[in-house]
Amino acid sequence: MVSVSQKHTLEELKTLSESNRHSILIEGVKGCGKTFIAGQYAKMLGIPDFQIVEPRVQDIREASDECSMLRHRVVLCIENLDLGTLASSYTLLKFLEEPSSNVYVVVTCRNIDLIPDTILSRCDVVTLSPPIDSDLQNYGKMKNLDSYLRVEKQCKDLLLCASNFSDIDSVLAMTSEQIQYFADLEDNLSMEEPISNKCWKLQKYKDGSELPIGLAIQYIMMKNRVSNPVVWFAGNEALQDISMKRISVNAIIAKFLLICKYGS
Amino acid sequence: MLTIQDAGRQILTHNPGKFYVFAGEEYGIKEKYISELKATYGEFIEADSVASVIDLMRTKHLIPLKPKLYIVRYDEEFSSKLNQESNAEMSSCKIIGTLVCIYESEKHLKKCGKYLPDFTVVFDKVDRSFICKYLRSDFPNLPDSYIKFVTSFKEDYRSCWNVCNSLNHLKSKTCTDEDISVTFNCVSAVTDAHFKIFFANKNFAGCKYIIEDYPSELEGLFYVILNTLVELDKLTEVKYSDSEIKEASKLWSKSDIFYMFMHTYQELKNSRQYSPYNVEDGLMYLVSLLGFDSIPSLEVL
Repeated sequence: MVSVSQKHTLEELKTLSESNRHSILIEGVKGCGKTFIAGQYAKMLGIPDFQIVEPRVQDIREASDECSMLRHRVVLCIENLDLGTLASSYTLLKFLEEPSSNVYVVVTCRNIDLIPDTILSRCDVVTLSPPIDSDLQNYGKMKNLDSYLRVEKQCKDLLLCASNFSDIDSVLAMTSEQIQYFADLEDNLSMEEPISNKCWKLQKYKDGSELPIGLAIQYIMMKNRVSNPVVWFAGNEALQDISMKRISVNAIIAKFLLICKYGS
Repeated sequence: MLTIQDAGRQILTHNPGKFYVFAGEEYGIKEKYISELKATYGEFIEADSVASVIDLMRTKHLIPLKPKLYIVRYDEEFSSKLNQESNAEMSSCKIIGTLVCIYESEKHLKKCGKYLPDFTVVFDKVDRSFICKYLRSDFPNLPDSYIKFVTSFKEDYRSCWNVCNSLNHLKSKTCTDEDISVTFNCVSAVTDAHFKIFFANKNFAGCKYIIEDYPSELEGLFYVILNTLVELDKLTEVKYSDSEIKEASKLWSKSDIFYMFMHTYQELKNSRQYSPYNVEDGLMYLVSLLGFDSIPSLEVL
């Protein structure tokens, strides 16, 4: 199912596929469907072999070595290259400089500023817009209507705070107890509690399983959007830092909670 | 193979075996046991080789030999000739007194352990409680807190013994942990815990000392600071909470904790950028903020 936010990008890719472009870079925020769109590009080219590669030096090297021995066409999707090290980018660069005719490379990234210019100059860059509310609703209902309606009934705010397709996937997979945990977050996160306790509550459900922290922060932000803009800004910063994966999640959450407690 | 504790039980109760192979790097306890054996027998001989001692034992004497301690150090010939029969041969050998054969390297430890399992004592890294036990008996008048502090920094018995011996000569036993740490260059893998205490106590000199001599990656100290601040926050909220920095929490106001956390987080974030960043400078900047009466905000600086 193609969303409204993806239509324009798909049209661009259609044009690029007609020119048989071998190196594409898709930029977009977390969970907006970059890998899905990369898969659509492979379909436009008529290539059934679509492989996803992690942005690690070893994985990129192995993928390029394997592809050099293949005769059929293949699409390699290097996911979120900006989350890898610079060494990963330079390993890919080497591959892009000596392209095989049967290999098509689609690189995805969240932050294009972290991609070296030498890679950008060798790729056709397309931008994927974040999904709009109707995209997320339609996606959720199409994926699992029963779960969507259950969540809507129990905690509608949880659906409203989802900002991308990954969030919707997480929400639809939640049990009733987990949804209720979100609904009770406001009452459970007292400002009098130590930060360390709140950090724990924001990362684990009552049964000890992991809570999607990005969604939890978005939920708190949404609840404070009007009454407390400081929380909104702190939440945005925290979400950015989480997506960059360069600082420990505990430290990010502690900072967010400290700002909520003392910053306003 | 025998453990240090097994051999210790025999030697320290003056009931030693006839033959030992002391193998491994832990030098201090080897020498302690040798001293105890010397004290047990009164007389000792430093022999050139194990073979010479065995020949002496096999030779008939008009006047029977007195039990003595025989010490053989680094006998390569003995080690090279070890085989499957060696353990049985040494068991049947009649030694008047005790023969101790000393080695240090891993190679000898493995070989002796394989061919002389009933006699080889492994002198490897010993745990802290074991060292504490021996130091308490060596220095009965030394405060236990000194022994615990020294053993938290020094990993081998001899180094700990040297420091405790110096402290034992002090007329008044009122040294602080910081005094001992600075005087005896106590820096080790446990340094994070001491950095936490120095930081919580707003002790700039102590923090600076640790940063300059830190044995691991300095970036880890950013997280030590963040964790310390979260713990200080907890201590301001939960009065009955127990912690080694409980007293120090009185030095911190809520705004101090908040602003210091923000400064540290910013420095940590700077260290994660691709542009050049000097971690030591970043940490020194953070500990320099401890000198302010109130930690200034990011905007003020």
